[in-house]
Amino acid sequence: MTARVYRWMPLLFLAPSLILLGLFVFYPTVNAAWTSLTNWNGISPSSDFTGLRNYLDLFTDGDFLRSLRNTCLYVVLTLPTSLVLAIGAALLIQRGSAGSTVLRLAFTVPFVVSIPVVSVVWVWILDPNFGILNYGLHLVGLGRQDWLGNPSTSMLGIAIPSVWRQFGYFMLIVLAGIKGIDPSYHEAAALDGASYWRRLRRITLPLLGPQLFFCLVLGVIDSFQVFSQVDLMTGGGPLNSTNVVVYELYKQGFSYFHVGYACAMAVVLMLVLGALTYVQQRWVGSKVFYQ
Amino acid sequence: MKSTVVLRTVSNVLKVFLALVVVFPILWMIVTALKPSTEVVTWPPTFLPRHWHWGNLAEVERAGPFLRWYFNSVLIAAITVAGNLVFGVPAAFAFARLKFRGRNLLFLVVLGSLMIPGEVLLIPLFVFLNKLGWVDTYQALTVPFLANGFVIFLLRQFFETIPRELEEAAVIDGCGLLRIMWHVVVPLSRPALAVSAFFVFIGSWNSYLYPLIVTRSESMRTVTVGLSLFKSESGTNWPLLMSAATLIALPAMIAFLLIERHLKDTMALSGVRG
Repeated sequence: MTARVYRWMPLLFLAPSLILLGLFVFYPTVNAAWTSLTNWNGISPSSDFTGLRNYLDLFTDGDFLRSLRNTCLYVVLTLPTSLVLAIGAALLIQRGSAGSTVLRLAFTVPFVVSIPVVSVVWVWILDPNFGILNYGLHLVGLGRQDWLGNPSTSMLGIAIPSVWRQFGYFMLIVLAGIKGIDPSYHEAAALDGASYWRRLRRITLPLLGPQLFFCLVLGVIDSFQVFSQVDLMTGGGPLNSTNVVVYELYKQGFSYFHVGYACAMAVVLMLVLGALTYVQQRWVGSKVFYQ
Repeated sequence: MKSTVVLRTVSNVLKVFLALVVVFPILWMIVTALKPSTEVVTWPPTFLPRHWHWGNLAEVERAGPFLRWYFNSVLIAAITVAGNLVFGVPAAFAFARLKFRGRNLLFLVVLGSLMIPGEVLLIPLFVFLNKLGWVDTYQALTVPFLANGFVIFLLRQFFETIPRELEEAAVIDGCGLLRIMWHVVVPLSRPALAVSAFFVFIGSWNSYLYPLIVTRSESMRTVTVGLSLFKSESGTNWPLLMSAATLIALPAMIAFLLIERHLKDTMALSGVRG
């Protein structure tokens, strides 16, 4: 027995959300796709239809290609480290002692500190003259580094705070996965004399496939949208070494007023993320173990 | 027996030490905020301030309209959270409980909205808001975020775990649909509602690029955008900047500590099964 449902009810319940999503998500998306086919500068009332010209230009634009490479570098520097730290942290705290609770809170609290705050705090930590990190290096006998001012370490300087902020969130996801593993697998393996490491490699990690896969997708999507750290820590420099895709998009759209061109970048970004998610679903997704 | 107690103590001490290492940047932010500006340029650096300089926290307001920015951020976060619950609960309820034509398709549309990165929307959304005359207003900072596919998804997942028998009992007692939603489903969903509110709050409180673009006047800035203006205006007065950073970080950290125990359960629910 269910309550009487009038025809207008679902519509009424859904309308506000659907209207909002339509106006502020789907309409702008379609609009971006359309604008990307024009040379609109954001100000003038008219613009010319240029077809795929903007897209073709992207592939010969050194700055854009550089930003794409930088973004990939950022992914490589952050994601594997975050995942390994997340697994390690989850294994460390899976048994709930008092120390574990403290540790769990400590690992996850960086995630709620906003990126602008994280950025300025790490600029201070990485400061070449009075930064605490250089002091630490000095104590162990290593030289000072101008982390953010040197093109060969600047991306690392941006990646470290991101890992610091990100791994605790991944850890929560991994932890949920560990809790979901049937303890009888471990008991049976232990009875057969399997060591902790062997059980970790043969039982825990394979069964965590879906969670790690989820973190991977989430991490790639997040990484391709990185902006605030770059804006606040380096401004894309030095020598374009930290200029990432969204930062380049922001400059093209809001500083140079190449609005059509920036929209083409946005559409490419969307397609890349869509494709990555799809590939991960197909390739990684089919190889992980599902319960 | 004794050795296991010792081992456990050692392991707990090590864990607390590790916890301190991880939260060190947060601690460093707070202690820097409380140092006089002369003390941060000493070598070797001091960890705890030699002179506790609480005045920095008040001085933040003199360096820029920090209170106004703070008020803006609080207001925007509050409106966004309220809107997401008011619009998200009925939508999620409809997806979880009502049968109607096109339900699966519409749900896919809602999920599809999650696949579109915010950066794609940046320029057309700005142009659209400009046409509406909303640039540099509170409407621009709140209205586009009053509905969120993730919240609808999360709440639907939770509503589906509520036993239908409870609702059937309510129907027998003569409850209508609205009353079932309000008096049966909502009270049972407090953890999921809290977690949704938390995610919306964090997202709103932390957003940077969007308010940077849709606000122009100093009085409409949010606290995160203000932080970047701060940096250029006051040069590198680190204690002052860290004071502002501390004041921004605190509400989110407190909200997190309040919600933490619900977070894990709801996350397992949001379909992290792959």
